[in-house]
Amino acid sequence: MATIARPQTTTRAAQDARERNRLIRAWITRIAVYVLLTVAAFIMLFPFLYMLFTSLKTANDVFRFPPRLLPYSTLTTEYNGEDVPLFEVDVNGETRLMVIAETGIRVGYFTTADLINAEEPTESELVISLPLDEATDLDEEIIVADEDFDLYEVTVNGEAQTLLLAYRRGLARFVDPNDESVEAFGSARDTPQAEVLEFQWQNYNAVLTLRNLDRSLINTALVTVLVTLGQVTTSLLGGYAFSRMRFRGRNAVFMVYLGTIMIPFVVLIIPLYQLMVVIGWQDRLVSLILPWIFTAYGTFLMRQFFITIPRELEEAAFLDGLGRFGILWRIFVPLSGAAIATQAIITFLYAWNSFIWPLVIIGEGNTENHVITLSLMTLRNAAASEPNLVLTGAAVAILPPLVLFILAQRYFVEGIANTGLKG
Amino acid sequence: MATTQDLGLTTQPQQSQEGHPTSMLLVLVWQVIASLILVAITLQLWQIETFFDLGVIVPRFIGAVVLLAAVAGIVIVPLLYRMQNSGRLGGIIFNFFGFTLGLLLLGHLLGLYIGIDDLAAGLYSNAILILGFPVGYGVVMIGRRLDPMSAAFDWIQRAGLGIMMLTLLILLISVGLADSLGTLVNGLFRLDVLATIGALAAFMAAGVVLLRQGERFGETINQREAWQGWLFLLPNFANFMLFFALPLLLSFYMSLTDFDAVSAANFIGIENYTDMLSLDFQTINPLEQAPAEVLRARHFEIGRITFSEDSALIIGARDPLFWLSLGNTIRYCVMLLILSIVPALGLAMLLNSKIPGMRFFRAVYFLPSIAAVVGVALIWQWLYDPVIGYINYTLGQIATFFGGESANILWLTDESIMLISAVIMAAWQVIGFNTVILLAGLQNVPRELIEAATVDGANGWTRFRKIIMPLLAPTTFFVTVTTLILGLQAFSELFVLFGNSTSNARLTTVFYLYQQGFETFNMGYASAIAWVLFGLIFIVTLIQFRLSSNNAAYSD
Repeated sequence: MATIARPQTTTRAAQDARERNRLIRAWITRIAVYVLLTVAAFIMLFPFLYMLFTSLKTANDVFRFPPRLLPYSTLTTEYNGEDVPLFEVDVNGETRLMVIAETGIRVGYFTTADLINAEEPTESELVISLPLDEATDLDEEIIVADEDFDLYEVTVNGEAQTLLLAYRRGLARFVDPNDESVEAFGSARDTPQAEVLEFQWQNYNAVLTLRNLDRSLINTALVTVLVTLGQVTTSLLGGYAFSRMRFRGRNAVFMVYLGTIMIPFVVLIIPLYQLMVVIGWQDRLVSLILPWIFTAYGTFLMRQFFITIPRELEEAAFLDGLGRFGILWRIFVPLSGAAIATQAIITFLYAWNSFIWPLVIIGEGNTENHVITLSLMTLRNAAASEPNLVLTGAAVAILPPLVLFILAQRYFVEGIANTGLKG
Repeated sequence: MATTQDLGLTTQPQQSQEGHPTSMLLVLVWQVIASLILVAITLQLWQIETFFDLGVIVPRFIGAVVLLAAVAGIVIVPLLYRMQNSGRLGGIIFNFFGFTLGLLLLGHLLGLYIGIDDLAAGLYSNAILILGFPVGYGVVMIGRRLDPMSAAFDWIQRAGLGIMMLTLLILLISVGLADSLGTLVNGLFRLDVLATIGALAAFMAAGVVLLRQGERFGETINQREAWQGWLFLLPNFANFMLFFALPLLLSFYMSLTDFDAVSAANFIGIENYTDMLSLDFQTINPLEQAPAEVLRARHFEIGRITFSEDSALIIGARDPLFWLSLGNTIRYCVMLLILSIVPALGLAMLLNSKIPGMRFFRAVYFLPSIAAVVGVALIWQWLYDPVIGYINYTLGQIATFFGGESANILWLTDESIMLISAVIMAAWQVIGFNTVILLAGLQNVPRELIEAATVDGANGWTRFRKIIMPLLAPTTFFVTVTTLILGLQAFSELFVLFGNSTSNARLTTVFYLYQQGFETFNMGYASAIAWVLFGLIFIVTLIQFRLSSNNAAYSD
């Protein structure tokens, strides 16, 4: 309103300026929105990236501090008949790949009383550093700023000097494996190892075959497929009966079904467990399938979708002599692709990710019938010192639903947004 | 709709009182025999002293259900004889229900269900063959992309389907179809199997005979719909009765016993509930009295309110761990609500601005909610590692940037933090789901309203508070309730994240239930915990139901 009511005297230039300001503000808002969205996306994705990259690391690389995302492995070379790690050592301003020839060499760092930094001796300006064997201990001490320092006689440029020992260290002698005359001293701990970016794809092989995750992957896939097929079938039939047929008891049963949606599974877990024991299904894959074929929620969803299908379609087919099954199969099923896909996906995820029921019903020892979530727990306990393998296992469990998500994203997000609002 | 009804009404009932065909007479005989068998089963069940240690009540209850079926079977007979359609409907349901249950039983007797283990083993040793399915599917997909007019369109798709069929065939053969069929055929000649097959055949035959008698019974279309409806519902309903209703009743009964999975259960009434919920409030002089002196027997202190040095109110509980777990659950829920709904609301607002790339971001935010909780907890376990974990590292970097000390938070072992660690992870998982639903709600807010408010000079915050919030209230409420119900059932997150920890700080109500039920095998007590939890969820749902129906009235 304000812009319209403005007096006519406004010049064109002022209007342009206002317009420009408005555009700039819109752009700044837009950039801010994108920055916020990107930060949030990064937070959402980071644990997955961490999982993927860690699953491609060596165990040692995981325990490195500070942490880093990309997988590196140390370069090694053969030296004196052994495989030893290579280090990146600075020799006269030039970085060379060297190996450790000797460790535990005691080196002294010498300086004068004027140059010493008594509070932080390691920060002092040095005159020379050399192995302590090459210096002579004078058995005398000098006090600089309330700190004691030993005095040594040291040869500097062929000339003997009395210097004080600022600090000493145990160092390693590095040599170039190709030219042993090139040597350098340095701390073995602080010298960076030579590393190369390398993806440990064999982790996946190790986890799948050595730790038997392939078997549980097959079991999970079989269970998931059967549960999904079963749930979709019973829901289609039930949803059709609830939406299109009138019979005594229908509404009562429907109300009971609706009521069961809010009953948490833990109410059933103990008697269901006992039931499985009595039937003899404990430790069997069937215990993960048959009790899960019924779903009140899925039946409800299917019914909600079916009542939106116009009755005229059905009546024409009815007059053409198509039976009830024919109508369901030829008319309702093709029309409900999206609803079926949504339900199938929800069921798939539920079955693939389920944990508490398999934990209870499939024994820890019966690894033959483990599903993926159980195998992950076993793997976690067995490979506590190898987080790279544990996270490889996590990736094996998480990636199949992720791939499905990317393929069928439409049904996931839209379907869940819709069903969520209806529920 | 109306026409079908009219059609039904115009069909004149043809009550023919002349003699029954032989098939009908056989059905009548079968009804009597089946009912007598059911009565025999009832008598058998009545004599069982204890049914998986649950005492006589369970077999007697099942016996009563069976007896009810038997009575129904008998009642149907005269109705059928008098050609009443209600009898026919009852007969159809009776026989097909019997058939379904018999089929389930036959599968059990033949070892079909247990055979799934072997199927999995067979698939495992022929895993490479499974690749045939995606290959075939890919071929079909390629075929679909082609020009529908071209000759290749059809045959490539057929080839794809062929590959999938062939894969299935080879797979079935290599998995050991022949062997399984052999065992199946061998199994057929056992007495129990033969009896079941006989019963199945009788049920089926009787059912089909009754189905075919529609005209003779003068069936209307509505009556026809009735039995068709029940037949469609049957697979669903049978599963519901067996694996939902029965366990549900059992669960309630168990919660009234001291069942421990080993010795016979005793009915103890509501003792589990009173033990669990029993609280005792007493005043105490902390200088002179010990808590045990003032509290009722077997009650332990779970909290106190100090008024002055020598007087305090002390609260004792019969089962301190239950109250601890309940407190943890409530704290978990409150934190989860805050950490998952506020960010989700913000993200939904940002995404609602119709910007390009919105779908991409929405998909990314949704990713965590599809990952298995177990896998996610394993990832976060290492992110939370105090030394090499990224979370402490990042916090340390930020702190150092502002001149602070590097962080050393013991996310997984510090009892005062453990619950927060689990909540952060759970919130990360659920934010995307909540965002998607809130976004859908936001997109239903009419754009004109917001534009009108903008023109009237309302700024962003006012628009949000005065227009968006009220209109979004039902959606926000729905998200709150689903998140709350999720939080009330928290278990896997804590179970996996804290691994071998024995700290009570990770004990939520479901966790406590798991410990009681499957570690110490106090199954009766654990069932009672489950029902208390159900009570909580019931209250939450009831509130949602009340409020959302109020809201609906308001927004209409």
